[in-house]
This record gives sequence, C-alpha cells and structure tokens, in this order.
Amino acid sequence: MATIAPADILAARFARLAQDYPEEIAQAKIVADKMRSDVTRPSQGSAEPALIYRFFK
Amino acid sequence: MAASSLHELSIEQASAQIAERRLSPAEYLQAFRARAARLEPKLHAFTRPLWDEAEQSARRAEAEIVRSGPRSVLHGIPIGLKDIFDLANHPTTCHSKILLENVAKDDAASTAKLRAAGAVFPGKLATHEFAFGGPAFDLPFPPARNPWDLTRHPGGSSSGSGAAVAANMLPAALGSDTGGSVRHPAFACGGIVGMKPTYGLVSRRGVFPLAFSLDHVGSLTRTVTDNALLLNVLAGHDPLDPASADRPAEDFTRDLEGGLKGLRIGFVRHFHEVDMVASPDVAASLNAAAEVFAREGAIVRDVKLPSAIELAAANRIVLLSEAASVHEHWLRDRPGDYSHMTRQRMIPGLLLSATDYIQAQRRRKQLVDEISAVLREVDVLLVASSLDQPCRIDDEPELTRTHGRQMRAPFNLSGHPALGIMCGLSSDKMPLGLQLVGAPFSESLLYRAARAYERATHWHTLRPPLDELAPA
Repeated sequence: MATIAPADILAARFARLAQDYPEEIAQAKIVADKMRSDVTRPSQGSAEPALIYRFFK
Repeated sequence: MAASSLHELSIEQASAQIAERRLSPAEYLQAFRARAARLEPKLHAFTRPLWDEAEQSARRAEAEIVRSGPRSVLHGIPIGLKDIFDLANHPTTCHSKILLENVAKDDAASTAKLRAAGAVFPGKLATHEFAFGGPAFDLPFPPARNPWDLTRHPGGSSSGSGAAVAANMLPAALGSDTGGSVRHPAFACGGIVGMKPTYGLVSRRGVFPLAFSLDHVGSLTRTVTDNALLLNVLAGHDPLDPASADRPAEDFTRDLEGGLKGLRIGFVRHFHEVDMVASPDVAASLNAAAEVFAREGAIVRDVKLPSAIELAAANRIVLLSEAASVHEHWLRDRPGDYSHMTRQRMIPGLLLSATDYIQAQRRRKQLVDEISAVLREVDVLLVASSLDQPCRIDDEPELTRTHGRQMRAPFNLSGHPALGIMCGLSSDKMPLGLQLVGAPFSESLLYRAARAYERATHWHTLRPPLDELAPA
C-alpha cells in the first residue's frame, strides 16, 4: 500500500494553503521532522501521557 | 515629588501615597499619559490606547478612596492588558486582521479581578500575532519596539507589555506565556520583572488561547514587590478554567525580605554551555549572578536537567499541535489574513500526527518528573533566559535563527513557576536577564530570591536611554 506523506494530507485538507504557500509548507515539513527527531519516543507502555490539567491541583 | 516624575513611582510607592491621600490616581495616570504621548509614537506599545476611559475610572477611584479608603493596593493603579485579554466592550484583536472586530462581551477572569481591586485600564497592548508570530510588518498594527534600542525587537510575544513597562509608560501590564512570552520581554526590555506563575495558579478564562496545556497568565512590573502585589490579586481558583488549581489564598509578599542565607540554588549551566551555547555576554552575566547569589549566602551548585533541546522540542510539538487545533479553520479559509511569519510558524502543527502529540505528552511526563526530582534537591534553579541579545526588528533571518535559542519553554512544558529579572548589560549596552525557577506554587520563594538579588545589585534601577532615543 502506498504511503501518504503528511504534506499530501495537508494539501488535501488545506487546499488554499497548499496552493498559495508551497514554500512555507516545504519549510514546515523540515521543521516538523526536526521536532520529531529531537524528542525521545517512550518505550512501549512505559509512560502515560501527561495530563497537565491535573499536575498541580 | 514633581508631577513630571510621578511615573517613576512603583505601585508599592504610589499605592502608599494614594492611601495617605498625598497622590491622586488621576495625577498618577496623567504622568504615564504624558510620557506615552511623547514615547508611544516611537515605541508602538499600544494597539488601542484608552486614556480617556482610564481617566474617568481614575477619577471615580479617587472619589471612592476619599469617601471610604482604597479597596486594595491596586485601587487607582493603571495596568495595561496584552491584546489577547478580554476587556468588556472593547475588541480583543490578538494583533491580527482576523479578529479586528472581535468585541469582548465580558472581562477576562484576570481583568475582572484587577477591576474589582480598583485598577484602571489605559489600553490594550501590542503582541506578536495570536501571541505566536514574530514582530511583523504585515499586520494591522505596527510591532512594538525595544525601548533600549528602537531598531531592535522588545521580545515577545508580550511585546507591548514589556516595552510599555520598561519605558515607564505603565507601572505594570499583563502578559501571557506559552513558550516564554512574559519572560522574553523581561529579558529584552531590561530593568523589569516578568513572572510566569505555576500552571493553574492564575485563571486563563477570557484570554485567547495559544496552546491549552501550556498557556499561563503572567505579569510584567518594574519591581519584584510590585509583581508579588499583582499576583496577590490575580491568583485564585476559577471553576470555569479547567486547569485552575483550587488552593487557599496566600500573600506572595510574605517572604520578600527573607534573604538568601541557606537557600539551595541549582545552576543549570549545561542549558547554555552545552545544550545550546549562549553569547559570551549572556554566559558572563549568568556566572556573575551565580557569584552574587553565593556571596549573599545561598548555596550554589551545578545541577543537571534533561536536555534543553529535547525539552524545547517537546514543548514545540505540544504547542504547535494545540495551536493548530485553535487555528485550523482560519488556516483553511483565511491563510492570507495571517502575517507571513505567523503562518510560517503555525503550519508545522498541521503536519504533526496524533501519535506525535501523544508521544510528546508521554515524554513530557517523564521530563517533568526529572525536573521535579532536581527541585527536591535544591530550592531554586538559576537558568538562562535568552541566549542572545535582541536583534534588529526587521532582520527576519536573525529572528528565525534566535527564535528557539531560549531556555524558557521547558518551564511551560513542566508548569513550574519561573521569574525573569535583569542581570547585566551586554557590551553593546543591551539588557541581559536570567530566570529563577521553583517547585510548583513556590512563587513566594522566587520573589524572595529575586528581591534579595535586587537588593544586592543595581540592574533593576537601570532604565532605557529614552531621552536620547526619543527627545522631549
């Protein structure tokens, strides 16, 4: 099965943005990939997600 | 005191004189108004000045104080509002074309608390668009300028709040802080104090959201004491803000003069020496600050937190994902109505998946636990704020390069309270600053440490050279 790239999904859902600002979307993809690579993905089952609303109440 | 210098009075000083009926709120307001008339054409700190309305409020306050005494230390005190805070019957524009006609029906919870305490509102203040873009020139209002050097940016996104307070056009202003937006102007505008309280301590109701789980309401003042006085009014449970903490009221001024003796301070040196390298001036000012804290009796040692790079990236993923959920419909239907800088910064949020967001939230929990563990070993963290002096306001490549070179976002991710104060001047005479960070709800301890630093140094007394930049 073919993989659909996030930018393609964005183009489908945000047609005007994709049409008018293709360079900004290309740049955004680089930024998003870098963010992803900078954050460790916790190992399976090792961490519940933060529920910050409950942190300090 | 001469009428021409009343704007130099802190809230603490003015409030005492108002209570003794030696100063009228209308006179105090007029001093700021006169100063703003001279400086605002250069600084662009206001999106919507409301001096006439504020003057009426000040006169009413005066009559009430004469009749029955002041309601609080803020009675008759002018306070500015970043233009993402609702002020009933006035537009909350978020400095954006998209919300130019967005008239608020009610006050934000924080605005309402200030109003009940008797504060007056001289205007809505400039912000980066939606508290997120950069200083941009393709918006309905010009960007605020740095009072220390009008060619440079004043930090942001609470840019107008920082510029107005640093330039003595207001004694205090509210700002918001999602990735450092109160503490950034506290660094860049110098001589002022910026507090991001613990997540949940101050209600965000009626403040336009950027990222729900990172947004904080904070304040900018000229002294530590004034900041604590403001927090006394702003803090408190709000059942209509799902993040609001239900805690008993406290007096944040109670430990102000407690000094530093025996206080354990952890210096997070690796943030600005290893993870990202600060400018030599910034690094030197932080070392000098650590020496001051030690000389004044604190026990200072280096501590290690998770990497600043990972903390910042996790903050960014959460911020962008949540912001994209707020702006999704406008990004789809009105992308051209944003500043190009805001749009450029927003779009990565549309490229993140639900999995990316949840993984960042999972990692967030681990990172917060690691910071909390260190804060059981020390009382206060000494942390860099920005790593560079503010650049020219129109230098977009440099704005982009330095945008992420800051150490404030980790404490939006973690929710810990963080206080920004001035700690030096760079070789090109621009202000430098640091952050003090504490355990949840330790604001009074942060104020105590900052007040001791204020007593031991002269940085907070420095003011921007506005007489040279904007002659009378």
